[in-house]
Amino acid sequence: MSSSAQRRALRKELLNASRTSASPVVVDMSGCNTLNHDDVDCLLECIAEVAGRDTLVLLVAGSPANRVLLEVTRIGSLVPVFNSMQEALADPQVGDSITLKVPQTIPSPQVGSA
Amino acid sequence: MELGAFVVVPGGEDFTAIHEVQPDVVAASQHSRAMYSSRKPIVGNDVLQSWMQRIRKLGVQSLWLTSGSVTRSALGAFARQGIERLLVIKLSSYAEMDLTDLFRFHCERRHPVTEAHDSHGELGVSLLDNLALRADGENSSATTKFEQVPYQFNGYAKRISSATERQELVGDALTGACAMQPFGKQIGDQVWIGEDVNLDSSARIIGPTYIGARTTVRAGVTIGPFASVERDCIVDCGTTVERSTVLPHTYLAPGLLIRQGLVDGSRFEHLGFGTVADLQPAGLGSRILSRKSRVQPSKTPTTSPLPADSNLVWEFAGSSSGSQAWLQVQL
Repeated sequence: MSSSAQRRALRKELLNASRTSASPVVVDMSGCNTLNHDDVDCLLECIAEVAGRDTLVLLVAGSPANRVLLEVTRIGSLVPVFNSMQEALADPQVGDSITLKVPQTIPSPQVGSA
Repeated sequence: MELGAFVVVPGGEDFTAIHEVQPDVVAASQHSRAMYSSRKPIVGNDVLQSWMQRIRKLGVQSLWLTSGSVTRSALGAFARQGIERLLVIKLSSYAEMDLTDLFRFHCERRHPVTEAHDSHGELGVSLLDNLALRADGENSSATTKFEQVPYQFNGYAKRISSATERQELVGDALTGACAMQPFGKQIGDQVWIGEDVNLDSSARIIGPTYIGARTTVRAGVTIGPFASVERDCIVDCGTTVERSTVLPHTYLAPGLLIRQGLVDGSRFEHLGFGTVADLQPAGLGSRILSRKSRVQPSKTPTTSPLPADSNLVWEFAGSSSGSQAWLQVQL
């Protein structure tokens, strides 16, 4: 994930999906190299917002490092986490699902003189 | 017959790290290097110190320290100075070995090279005669040219080259499965703390657990079982540390779950997944910069890294082999 606009978009998509459909929502972070502070906050907000609904949210870590960070932040104990999309789709509780792709991480702008 | 003792710290650590008290200072500046250093404390203990104590029992007055790999020619230079037998210890294992018995075995067998083994293989402890070093090849390793006589060691030994092995040693030290004692005061069943630990009253400490000196444990934290939080760390509110080690000068953010891991500053190595993750971008952990680590490593000799042995005097001595840097340590 990168900019705040992308995070807002993801949150909006997730909320829309949870309102309009009962299908599980798979948040695919395969394109995301690493998670920063805002990414973790965004994920926690999204999970909290759909917590009262029937929608099942699942995460695809995409990389071992992301998987570790999801466990360290306890997100892994809130929602199911899979290593890959294949692994997630093979899970019987997924069925017909909506997939939200998290955009590629954009490095933070360097601060300094030109 | 003069016996010389040589300890090789693996991993190509900066030479200054050996005497600079804070080996993690160097580790922090070299992000690509393997995160684990054999000089990092284990339940407050320095494995090098334990080997020093064993070497001292042999009647050896000083030892030579170096880092990286050591060549036969480097040791050959010492042999040419009149040292007839060389005890070479690669700091890759902790072993409760009676070096006197190894020495006796070596003398009885009258073989140029004796290598200590346990059931898993070499322990990185060898005795070499002057003879083994005379025909030195420039790039050959220290013990390859002569046939080695294995000295079978049946006591407690643990390799410390990986985070998993290190965590096993932590567990053994906490449960009394080996002779290594946690460096601190026992305050409960299999619970030890070092000096000046700041422990919040709401924190839960579940043995077996060790908390090193000057570490702060904030409200709602759970530490243990089988956890070791080494000196000068801060574990923030609500975080859980279990079956893990937190190395010195590490800050852990609130609400984390550190399970089956080794944390060194911002780097987290998961023992189960075998993955290293950087906690810094997510604001989950970081290195605490102490006053000592903000200054450049000094070339001035300092005192012993750990308080376990205050009699040690560190002395610089010129390299005997030209390219290999050596540090002489009076025992």
